[in-house]
Amino acid sequence: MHIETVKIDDVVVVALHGDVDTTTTPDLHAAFDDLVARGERNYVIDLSQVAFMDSSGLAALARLYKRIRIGYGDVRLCSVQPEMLRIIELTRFDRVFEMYDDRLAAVASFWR
Amino acid sequence: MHRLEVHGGSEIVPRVRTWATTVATELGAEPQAAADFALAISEACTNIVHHAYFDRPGSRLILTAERNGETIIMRMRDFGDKFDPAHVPPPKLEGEPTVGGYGVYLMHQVMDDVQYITDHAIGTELILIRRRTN
Repeated sequence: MHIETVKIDDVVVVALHGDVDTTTTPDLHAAFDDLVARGERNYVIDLSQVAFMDSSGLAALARLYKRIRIGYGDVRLCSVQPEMLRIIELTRFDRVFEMYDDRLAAVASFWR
Repeated sequence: MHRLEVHGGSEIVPRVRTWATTVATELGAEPQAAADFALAISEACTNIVHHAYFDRPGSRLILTAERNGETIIMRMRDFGDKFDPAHVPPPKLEGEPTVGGYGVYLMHQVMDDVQYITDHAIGTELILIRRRTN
């Protein structure tokens, strides 16, 4: 899995490319740890290039969410593919994470 | 019957997931059913690597898949520490998410039936059953 990070004003966009499972989430955890250590509070996780994510990936998102919410930041999702929407709805992560159709809308939501 | 035997650590997870998707499709599963098998197998294999073999590199798994009428049955046999499904608490689905604990729950959500055979002398056998159509 490839992780691409882009900063747009005070929002960090983390775009994931590839499958997210137990073999790739260590890199994801490391990327999130680095961003949190740098003081980043607002995150958009771009899932447009993720066709598969299992509960390992959900755990990584939940971990980031819990850490960021303590500091009054937020983690939002964008471009969730249909295959991924299923597990997000089954675990009710859609009731926790705000989701947007595209990156621009997700980033702009922090500025409302 | 389709069969796969794998050895290794967590690197076997994507390999068995790909096998499950391919075999499910060959057995006539529609795309959603094949994707559901991929997810269930990925969850099960992850649990086995981490909890039955404690991330040791020598995990051994034997997977089989067959079709019985409109049903596809996949079995996963490990030879590590036994798994007791009764010890897995249900995940928290309201309020803040938990970090982990959704794997077994997701398996049950996307399969029509999940069975565990725990009376082998060594290890556990997992049986996943799903209709091939949505």
